[in-house]
Amino acid sequence: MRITVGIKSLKEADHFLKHGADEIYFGPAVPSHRAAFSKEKEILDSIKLARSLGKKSLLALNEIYPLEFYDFLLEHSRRLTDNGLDAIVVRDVALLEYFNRRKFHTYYVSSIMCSCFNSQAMAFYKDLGVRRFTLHSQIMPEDAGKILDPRFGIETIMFVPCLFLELNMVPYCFFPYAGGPGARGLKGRPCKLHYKCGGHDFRMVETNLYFQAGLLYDFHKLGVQWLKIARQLNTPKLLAEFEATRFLNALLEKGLDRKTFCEAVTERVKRMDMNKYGSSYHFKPFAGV
Amino acid sequence: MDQAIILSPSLASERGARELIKNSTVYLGDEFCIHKQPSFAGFEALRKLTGRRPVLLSTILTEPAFERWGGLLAECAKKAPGTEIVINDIGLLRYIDKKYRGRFNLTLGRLMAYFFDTKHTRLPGCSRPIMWAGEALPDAGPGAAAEKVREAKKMKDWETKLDVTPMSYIKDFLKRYGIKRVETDSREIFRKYADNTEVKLSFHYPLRLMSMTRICPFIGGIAPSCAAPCGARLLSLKTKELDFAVFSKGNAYFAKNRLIDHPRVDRAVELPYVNSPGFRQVMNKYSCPDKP
Repeated sequence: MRITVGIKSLKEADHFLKHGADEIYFGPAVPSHRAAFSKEKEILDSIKLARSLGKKSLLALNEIYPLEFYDFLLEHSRRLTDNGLDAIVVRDVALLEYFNRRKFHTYYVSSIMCSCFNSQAMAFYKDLGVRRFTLHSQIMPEDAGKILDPRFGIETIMFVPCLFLELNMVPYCFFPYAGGPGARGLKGRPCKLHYKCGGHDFRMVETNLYFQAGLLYDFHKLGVQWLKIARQLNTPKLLAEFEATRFLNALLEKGLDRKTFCEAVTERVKRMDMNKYGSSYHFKPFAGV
Repeated sequence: MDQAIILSPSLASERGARELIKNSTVYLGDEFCIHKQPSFAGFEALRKLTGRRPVLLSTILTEPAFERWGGLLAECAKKAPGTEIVINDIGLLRYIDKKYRGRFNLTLGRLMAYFFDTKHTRLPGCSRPIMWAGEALPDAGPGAAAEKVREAKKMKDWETKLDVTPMSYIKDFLKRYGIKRVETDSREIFRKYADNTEVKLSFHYPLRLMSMTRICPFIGGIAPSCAAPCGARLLSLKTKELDFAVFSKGNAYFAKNRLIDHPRVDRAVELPYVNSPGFRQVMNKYSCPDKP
């Protein structure tokens, strides 16, 4: 499978593209806390770098935007596309229709936030020009036969299940963020809390590593083309996730049977202990590799 | 104001269903679980029981669940055209529009309302991490600190405007798909539609959605099939880290929600439940089928 990784600086673009990434993606040049570039010039340099290495670059517009931002986003997207940007990740149907009306057509990729669980939902976005779909992390291989049938004619991408498998379904998770109203005493994420139900302990149920490794194995067999590593503020964690993804991808290509693959992945990911890097929301800069 | 009650197929077929329904409009199905979707046999049984057609309620559908809905729609289009359907999946909306346009009475469900509007989904006043909507930023003084504050103000300005689909688009969308009613459990979203549209409005109570999942706490994972052991059970979950009570019911987590007092409420939709104190979870039953 090919690997796409979310970046937030030219330095990261350089590192990942030269160490095995097939594609980079990044947010628009806006004032945002989300792992985004602050200057268009740096985005253009990253696009140029990707092209010079024969690799791809994507702009992630995976928010819902107010009307007043539409013109800026259109012009920004046009400038980047004119300078070699390969595709745009979209979520907002209103913005996508606006781009269509303004005759701005490019290779569109659906965000996981589009929550497409069936071929008709994907057809809705296909009608608007989307050609690559991010599989929702709670779609199971047994549900995906029709979607992944080559006759359906889409490209697919998935987050690496052992590194990213949300307990709750995006975009339908509305718990407050730590420190916000209703959660001033919250330190982590509500889905990870220890609850009490009567006299019993209660946890929001997680899947385990073995199950997640099985998902990766099955979707690879079913023909998903891309593995995605989410962009984040925590660069050391991003680097670790990238290395883990490369390892898992190499293991997939070895042609192991499912049981051996799942056991190998479970053991390796447990040993890596991703928790030691802290939350992906905590800003930790690139320390150099 | 119309009063409605949501019944899953298993609850609708129980003996006490008639007493539970009283004079309410029945919503048959579930907004959060693919295993509790309606069938035509269930639809007919409820029609006989109440003398009125139930409203069909959908969730976000996987491909196999969608195929079952395809069969249900084909039967209803023939034998019960005009049935009201609450749409919570954009694929289902497209399918009905392409294949059965004008044959059903369409309602935009609460998940679809949230699909367009994720700003007003969290607790009132709750916005993105780092930049809280109500948080005052210090005055910009001279030097490098001032630059940081100015940057933070720009970020706040940008981020507090995100996550709301423009109303002009939503109005056009409702018209394009012939949607006559919109449902929500959010006061902010309700007022937005009440102030800007003429559609009928439903409000869901006594629970407001906090999150949904396919990783079911009652069955212990993502099950390929299910006999609905969750039933109507409502679990009350306690933690010191949240200032509000969390409830678990089926494949979703909730907070309490009072019925909104507003002249535009056309229908109040109730989610019935039975309190279930003390619950021992099944862990990993379906998360790890090959290696428990």
